[in-house]
Amino acid sequence: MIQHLFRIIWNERRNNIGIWIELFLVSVCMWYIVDYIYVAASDYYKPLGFDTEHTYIVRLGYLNRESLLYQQTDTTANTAAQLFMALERIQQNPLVEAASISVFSRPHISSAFWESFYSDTIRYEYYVLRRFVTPDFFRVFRYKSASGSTDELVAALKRNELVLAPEVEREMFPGESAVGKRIKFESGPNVQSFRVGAISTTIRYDNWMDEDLKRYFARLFDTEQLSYYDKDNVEYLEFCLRVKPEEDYDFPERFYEQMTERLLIGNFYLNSIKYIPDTKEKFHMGMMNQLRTRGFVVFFLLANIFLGIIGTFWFRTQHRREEIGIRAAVGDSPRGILNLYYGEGILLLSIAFLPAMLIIHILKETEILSFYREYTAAHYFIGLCITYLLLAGTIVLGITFPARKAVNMTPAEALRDE
Amino acid sequence: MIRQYFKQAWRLLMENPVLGTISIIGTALAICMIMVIVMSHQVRSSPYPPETNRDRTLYMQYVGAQLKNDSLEPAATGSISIEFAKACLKPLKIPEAVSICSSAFEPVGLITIPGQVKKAIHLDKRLTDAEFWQIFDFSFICGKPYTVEDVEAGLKKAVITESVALRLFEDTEVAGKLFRINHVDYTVSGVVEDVSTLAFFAYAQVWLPYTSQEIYQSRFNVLGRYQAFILAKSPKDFPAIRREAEQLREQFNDAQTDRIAIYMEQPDTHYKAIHRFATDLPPDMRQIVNQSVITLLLLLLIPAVNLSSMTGSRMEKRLSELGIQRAFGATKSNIFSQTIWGSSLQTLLGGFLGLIFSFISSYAFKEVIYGNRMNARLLSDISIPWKTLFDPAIFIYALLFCFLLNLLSAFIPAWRVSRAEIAQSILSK
Repeated sequence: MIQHLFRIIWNERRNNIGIWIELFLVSVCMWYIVDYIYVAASDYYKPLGFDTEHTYIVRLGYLNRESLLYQQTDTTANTAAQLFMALERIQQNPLVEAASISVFSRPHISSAFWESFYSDTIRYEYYVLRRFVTPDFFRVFRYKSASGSTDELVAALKRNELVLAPEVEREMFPGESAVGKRIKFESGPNVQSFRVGAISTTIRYDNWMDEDLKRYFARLFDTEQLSYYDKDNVEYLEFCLRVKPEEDYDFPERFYEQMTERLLIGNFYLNSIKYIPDTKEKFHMGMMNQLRTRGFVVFFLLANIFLGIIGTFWFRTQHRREEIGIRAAVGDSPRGILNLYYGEGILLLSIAFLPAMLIIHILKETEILSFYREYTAAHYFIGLCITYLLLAGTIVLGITFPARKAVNMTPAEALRDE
Repeated sequence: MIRQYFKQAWRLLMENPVLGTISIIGTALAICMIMVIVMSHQVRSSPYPPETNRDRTLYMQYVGAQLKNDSLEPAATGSISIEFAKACLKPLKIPEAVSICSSAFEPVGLITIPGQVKKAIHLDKRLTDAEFWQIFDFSFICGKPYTVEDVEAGLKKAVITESVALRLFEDTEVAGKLFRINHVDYTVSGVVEDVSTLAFFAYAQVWLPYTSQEIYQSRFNVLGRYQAFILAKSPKDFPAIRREAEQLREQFNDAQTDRIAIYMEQPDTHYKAIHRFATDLPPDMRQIVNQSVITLLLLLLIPAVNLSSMTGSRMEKRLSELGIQRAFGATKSNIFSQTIWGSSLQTLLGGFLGLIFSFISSYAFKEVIYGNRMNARLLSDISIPWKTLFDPAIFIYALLFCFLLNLLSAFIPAWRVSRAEIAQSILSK
């Protein structure tokens, strides 16, 4: 059968060139897009290490001197105390399960602070993300230690010890536990060092980001640090909170109503309340739109193949009426004739697909197309399979209409054409 | 002669409606995708109110503070401080105007009406100088913008959009009314028509003088919370403006001991500025342009190959007819142009359909086409500037792409068919 199909294809090679070129081009394009979407989708669903459901970010503001509510007696010495009081009042609110203060540490943002690490005099080769947080930050976002405990991380921070990412532990102290080791942020002899208190599980920076962004450390956000966030900088403070699931309805409006007076502390006031999964969706908007756009292009390519195949095989059906008549008269079943058509289409695809596979392999190897992730053989074949199946499906669908028409002709009618 | 070809083409189309439909749909799909891309490019780059001066405006969104003695250490990057803008950007003499405006990262404003403290709304606010109103072309429904004197005095005046006026006061003639931004009383100086989030730099829901809020400290004298817009008298001045900006920057840096300012390839033209997503990296314009070109090429080529094989098959069927034409004196080029013109009828029909689909898609899928991380945060919707879409340029582009598609798809079949031997053609079935 396959030999027979080859002969048919070879006989019509002049007409097949067009389809062959199109299938080849489309295979390469589609593989590129399918691969991109596959990588993006599989990255998206990998575990993040934290949980943002029912979490909100609250921002405070600082009153302008000319506000009616402004209090003259305020001095910067009280800043940290006032901010801690704000945190306490938020924690006391019955709707709130946990609350913390942090800076550039919440998930799904583009800004970050980076720090250098030194162990004794050796400098760690990578910069590490700095998470300045109060201990309950881990409760808000449900970070866990390797043994599944959030309390371990909270306790470590309360003792003013550091919490590290497992990647940092592995790379700075290969083979041993980092707990108990001391880390410095500058080189030099008389620099304060910090004890490592606990290691968390892997915390990804975002759903699609690089390996490099997993290296972080968390340090206690203490009074000294907090006092820096006065009128000019309070907008950078993240008051992150986790709401009790049963209370998570109309939360921004209710929280604002309940807390707007309670959070008027000194000259700080409650400014905005945002749902973190919403900010996450907006942060991902660009990438999601890119994926959707590529989805449209896949649809476009498949639609073209579909139309092209219908068109070509429609012609062929008309062209081959006599041939079909003879086959039918000689005893081939309609099923058999149909299969011949499908076989021809699939074989055409396969012939165009082989050089496409080669081109794709070359493109990957020479990195002409940039992929942000290394690819393994498995990855290569999954992409190829998905592309092949999509194209094969489209071709079968496209052949069905003209082929059925051909097959339902009576043999006499077909032979009469001769 | 061409009318003849069209008539023939029409007859052919009617003879074989299935194939005709397939060709038209294929063309429509291709033209639709291509025109959506062309339209999105137009909307992103061609001027419309309030950004009517896009082609003669330069943008400085971010600045870097690099260690003076260690250029290998990554610079701290972010928006610009008022001090730096006043030292290095405001003094530019060549441009018509330079404006300072708060960056896109400005926190939302807490808006309340006196007497209703427990109900607040949040609005996208921008803090600007008076020159801002020169750079952009806003339509004032009532009132006027704050002036240079207002800004100097730090007066609490604000311009709001029509929607905001309706939300706060249920009226649009509200110049002079009081409302509160972040618990401070402001007077409405003027009301403007709503601004689309696609006019990214002009967009806000409420504008106030930056002097009416206390100026924020800057980091390293350089980093802060603002950006700058430079309105040139003409795009020809751009190189001179860039040179002047460099001079001022170098002067500033000479006086610094700790960190110096770096511009990372700014000031940007509008098209480059809207692609600058990172504070520390200039956008790779070459890659962006290459990607667009490759995409357009593919969107043309793949349907062309499709249509080519269909046209080819159709022409082969008519080979005997064409052979007779040749026998009666038609030249090869007659046959050639007949084929090309014949297929152009269905290309035009498909193109027209495709153009309509592209207008519908541009509207239906506007979030997908235009949404990105920066404008997703904004509180208003994306609204398409229809005047830009219905620009004559769009129709000219559509015709151009139809022509290209037709040429690409009909060329090879027309060539083959015009070269066929006369006798053999007549004998073919």
